[in-house]
Amino acid sequence: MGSWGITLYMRLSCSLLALSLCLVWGSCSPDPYPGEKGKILHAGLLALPKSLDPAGVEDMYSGIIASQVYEGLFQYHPYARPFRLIPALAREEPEVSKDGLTITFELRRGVHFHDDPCFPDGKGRELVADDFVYCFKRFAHPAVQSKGWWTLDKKILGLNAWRKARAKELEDLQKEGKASGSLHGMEVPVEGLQALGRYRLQLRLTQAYPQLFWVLAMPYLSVYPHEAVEKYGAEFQNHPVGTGPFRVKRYNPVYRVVLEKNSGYRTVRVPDPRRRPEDRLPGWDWEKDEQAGLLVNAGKKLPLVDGMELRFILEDQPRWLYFKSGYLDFLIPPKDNMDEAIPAGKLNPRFAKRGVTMETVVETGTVYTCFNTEDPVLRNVNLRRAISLALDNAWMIQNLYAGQALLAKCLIPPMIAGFIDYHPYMKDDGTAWIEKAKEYMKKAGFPGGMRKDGKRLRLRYESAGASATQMQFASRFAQDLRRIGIEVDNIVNTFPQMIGKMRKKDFQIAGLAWGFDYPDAQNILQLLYGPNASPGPGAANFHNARFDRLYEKALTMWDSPERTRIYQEMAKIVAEEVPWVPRVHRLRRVLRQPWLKGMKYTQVTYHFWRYLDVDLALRKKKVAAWNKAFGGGDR
Amino acid sequence: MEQSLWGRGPVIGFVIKRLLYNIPVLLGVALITMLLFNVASGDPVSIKLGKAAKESQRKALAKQMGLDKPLVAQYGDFLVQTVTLDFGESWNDNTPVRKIFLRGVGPTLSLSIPAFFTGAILSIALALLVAYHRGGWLDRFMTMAAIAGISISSLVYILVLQWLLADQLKLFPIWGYEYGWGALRFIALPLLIWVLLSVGQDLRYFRTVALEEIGRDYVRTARSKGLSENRILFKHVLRNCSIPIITRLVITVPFLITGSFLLEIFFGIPGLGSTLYTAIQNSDFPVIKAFTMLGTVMFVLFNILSDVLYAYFDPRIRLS
Amino acid sequence: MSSEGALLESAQEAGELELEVRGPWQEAWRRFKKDRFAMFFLMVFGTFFLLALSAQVVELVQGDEATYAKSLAELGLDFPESHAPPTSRAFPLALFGLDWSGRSVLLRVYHGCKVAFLVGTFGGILSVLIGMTLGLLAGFFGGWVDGLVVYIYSTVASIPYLLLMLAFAFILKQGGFATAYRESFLANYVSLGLFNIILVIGMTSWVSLCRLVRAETMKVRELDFVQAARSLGFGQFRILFKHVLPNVFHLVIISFSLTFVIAIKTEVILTFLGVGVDKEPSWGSMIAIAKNELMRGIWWPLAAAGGMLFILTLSINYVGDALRDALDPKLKD
Repeated sequence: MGSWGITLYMRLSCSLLALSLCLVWGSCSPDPYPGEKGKILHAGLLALPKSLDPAGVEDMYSGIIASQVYEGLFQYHPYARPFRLIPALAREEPEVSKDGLTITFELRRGVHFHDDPCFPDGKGRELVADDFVYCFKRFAHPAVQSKGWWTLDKKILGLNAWRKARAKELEDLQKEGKASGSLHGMEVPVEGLQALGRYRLQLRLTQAYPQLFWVLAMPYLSVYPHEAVEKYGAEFQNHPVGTGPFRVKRYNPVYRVVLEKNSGYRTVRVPDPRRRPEDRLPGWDWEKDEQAGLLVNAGKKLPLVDGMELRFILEDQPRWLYFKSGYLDFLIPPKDNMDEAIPAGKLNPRFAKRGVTMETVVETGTVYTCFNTEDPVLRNVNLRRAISLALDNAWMIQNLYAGQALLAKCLIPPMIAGFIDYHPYMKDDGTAWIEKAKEYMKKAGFPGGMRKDGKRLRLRYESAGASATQMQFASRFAQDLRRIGIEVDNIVNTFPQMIGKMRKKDFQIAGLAWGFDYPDAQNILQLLYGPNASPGPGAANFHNARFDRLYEKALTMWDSPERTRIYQEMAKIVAEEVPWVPRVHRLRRVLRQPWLKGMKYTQVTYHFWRYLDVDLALRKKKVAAWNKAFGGGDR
Repeated sequence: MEQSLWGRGPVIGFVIKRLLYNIPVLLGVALITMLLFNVASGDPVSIKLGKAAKESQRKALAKQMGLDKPLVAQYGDFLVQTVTLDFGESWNDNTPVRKIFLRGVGPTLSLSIPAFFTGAILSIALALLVAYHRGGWLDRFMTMAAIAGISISSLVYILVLQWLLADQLKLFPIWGYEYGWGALRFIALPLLIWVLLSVGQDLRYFRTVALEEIGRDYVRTARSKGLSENRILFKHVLRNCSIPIITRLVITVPFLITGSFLLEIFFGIPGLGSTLYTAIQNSDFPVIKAFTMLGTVMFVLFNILSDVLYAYFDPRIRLS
Repeated sequence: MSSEGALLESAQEAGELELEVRGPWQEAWRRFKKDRFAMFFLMVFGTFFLLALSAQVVELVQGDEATYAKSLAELGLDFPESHAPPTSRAFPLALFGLDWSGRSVLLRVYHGCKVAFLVGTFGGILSVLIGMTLGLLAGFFGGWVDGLVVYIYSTVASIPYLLLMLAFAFILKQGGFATAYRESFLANYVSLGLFNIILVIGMTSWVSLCRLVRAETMKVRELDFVQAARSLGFGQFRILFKHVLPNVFHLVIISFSLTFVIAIKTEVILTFLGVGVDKEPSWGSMIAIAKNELMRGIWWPLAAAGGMLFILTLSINYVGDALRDALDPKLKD
């Protein structure tokens, strides 16, 4: 009995020791993909995808996944710049009537949906034109509440009326206390949306819609079988069934998605312009891409890899460290790691020695500071001009973007038609122009930042998201404005709060960014069109009669030098009236591991993902060398 | 235990009484939660529809979500949801809240339960060791170390250890998770940090408890009878210490469910803590409501359990 | 005792009360002084307090143009506009290096002291005031007052702490309250974020003290001298504040030291989550930004802020422990 205590103590210590040993044994390798088989592409996404229901795909990250699983009538060419569309489920170029209002698509034959339990025998059914009619109607259905409705709003003959009728029914159903949210009235036809036989689809438009084909390549308008919607109901968003080269194998909306290849995918080949003349698109400098090694898989059948594992890595550091250890096949380095990755604008030799390569893309989008032009203080155009002059964009690019951005003098980025190199209230080198800003403060009636009542002018600057980066932007904005005597209160919002405030016009200045849905300047100019003011998408609440007239005129025009001139004129109005201060167009520096093949990066579309390939043997060798315990190996 | 009132005592009556007493508390919690988030949650309709929505669309949705009702009616709905444990669907991605909970509970528990037991065993063992050597250099050193340990910010702990052990020494994965046994490698480092964070606090408490017990008369009597120090410490003292120790441990159980959200965020564990964090950022009210009510109910239940256990182990306490 | 003690009938009773009130404090101080470490850490704490005080004075003198908001380059010195390590140049302000915006890390941790003390002191005071008042009332009056107080604190304690805190913090940052605050004169001295943290801490961390004070008050209420005072016909509140309060005050002191630490640590976490201090330089905001810097080898902002935080917390924790041992000798072996 005397040794009882000691025994107990020994037992405790032993079990602890055993436990720690277990842990050490369990974790002696840092490999985050234990037991993986086959050729799997590894990538990290920056945020959680919201929904894999095409009608609900609204954010980039859902878009990336949906674009591998679903297909629409058209898709973006993976390599051609400027961007080009190629037929996907459409067999060829559509027939367009003389007035441009009737468009008939011929569908590919023999395309099958993924095998799925939603079909009677579990085998994927053949795709027919009626599927598109169903999907477009469902997209417009008020019970689905798609955020992409603007893409077809008032464009297709009878669709708005159809939507309105369904909304009325929905209200009646709710009054009767019946289950709402169900898809009723899907059998009612829409005039402008018809299947002509099994493989022909006809769209009839209310007005010329030059952006239609871009829109048809967006995930919103891709195709899925009604069987899946009926079987899964609200869960359809987690059970995608499409026609694409990949299908969802495992999906945890807060952690990762694992895609596997669709072995029944129809024959689609990587463009092979050298051997197949029909792949040589006019305007595509394919020889350059071939020299860059992008076409190593030319002529091979998709899909090229056995699957993809996309992890949702929200934090910058782990994402970067994953890449450095070789656990991600490509990455846009987080801004805080830029000076390690790309010191002085060139790829770090340490990475270059490892075989990592870098690609630079100017983002099709604009970061801007938005004024609420209906605010009693900011209605003052000279105050807005003074603020524009006081902002030190050069400093911001250097320190907050680590040099990875272009100064934006125009709200339209340089590669999009409509861009002009003109801003009267911004210095050419992007630095602050304090003397002139102070002059405009006087003109605005705030000499030295003082209000008429002798108090200092105070403004609120709103930003969404609580990251340290946001904090840095906001605090620099305040620093800049303090130099012309304005005191700034920084307000951090959650995204819903920010949206709520904009809708109610309850803000003064906000830090925002816009990424283009398609490469046409109309997509960003719409935000300043008067009738789009809050609660519409135009948060600046900008009202300028001339701007609005020009916008309406350009809206029905096809791409032409004349339309570009109109866009330029609109951009000039924006520069002079300053409802926004365009700040920068971000540069995307994409780092590619040596084993990644065939990538030309862009953010406008995610179709290029399916053209990626991995050299498995090389990856295994490199990753093992880079990850020796206790920091050995090639660091 | 021989003299315990257990068995004779009105245990069931006690539990029922406590449960009844806690009903108003739950009502109050529900009210506070409601009011807090009805004011704070921004505009729920915008979350679902985006900013391009039309006014008619917004009204229809508000109606569908029951947001057009007066607050009292919404409170009623909320209570019904709590009782039926059906909190509807997330506003963010329309997933049923129940599913969100089931998805996250596994990863969370796979970290929190091992961490809880490792931490508890380690701190009890250390506390006894320290109590055995009370007043000696080991005692002084450990007390100092414990104070120093709890004085470091948990954020600094996480940052530095993740950097050192995962990034520099490559001993652990930096980030990620795997279901099943594969979880072990991923939770190892967060578990280590959790234990380090909790041991300092627990060690201090358990040491105080042990010292208090050692100061009692029966220990002196036993000593004067010539019983060995070991036997006194590990048989009598440990047994009597078990009451405050167990109560303290039982009370922390509800917090194992919510997990450590900082660790989950930093190490990419798709558990309830990180889910809740995302929900708060997105004003995802159904999820927040469900988690708050669940946390409260667990807290209340385990409090009652701890009282019952207290009475079970301590003959001096009567359930009343 | 005050001169209002005229109602006391005999000097003897007064003497007894004196002993009850003063004696233990002197005794506690004697015990406290014996612990050399405790004295050392008390001095450290005092130094931090002086630093914080001077930072506040400096800021008041400088007004809007506080130097901590400016980079060294803006201050007219030849320094880079972003990160420079501590050893790069021998200049006092660059002693701890420069941060992402070229500002002196030394200046920022120095002004961070002020934020820590504001949060700790006022958060602690608010929490103690709520907890003590409710606890005293409940313990002393009993009956429905007690029932109500117990109900309130059971409810507050049942809500997961983190959720309650985050919810408060989110609300206070928005809407009418925020707007009203920005218009008020206080906004010129203490930013909304900082004020919020103080409120949040005060409103969420009073429960444990309230419990303790309530229980202790119940005991004290039954003691002879309180009964005696009662039989002398003293007013209820007079008994409460003159006779009961001094006997539970050691709990308040101990609890204050605990809350002080909790407040400082909470500031760091809330700021990290983006609902905390946004304008003043705080250790929390430095650590939040350092999260992305450490892996790039920029360790000095984290080391400076984390180090200061550690030393201050350690000293309060140690002093708090020593205080508890001194004031509540039951726990001494």
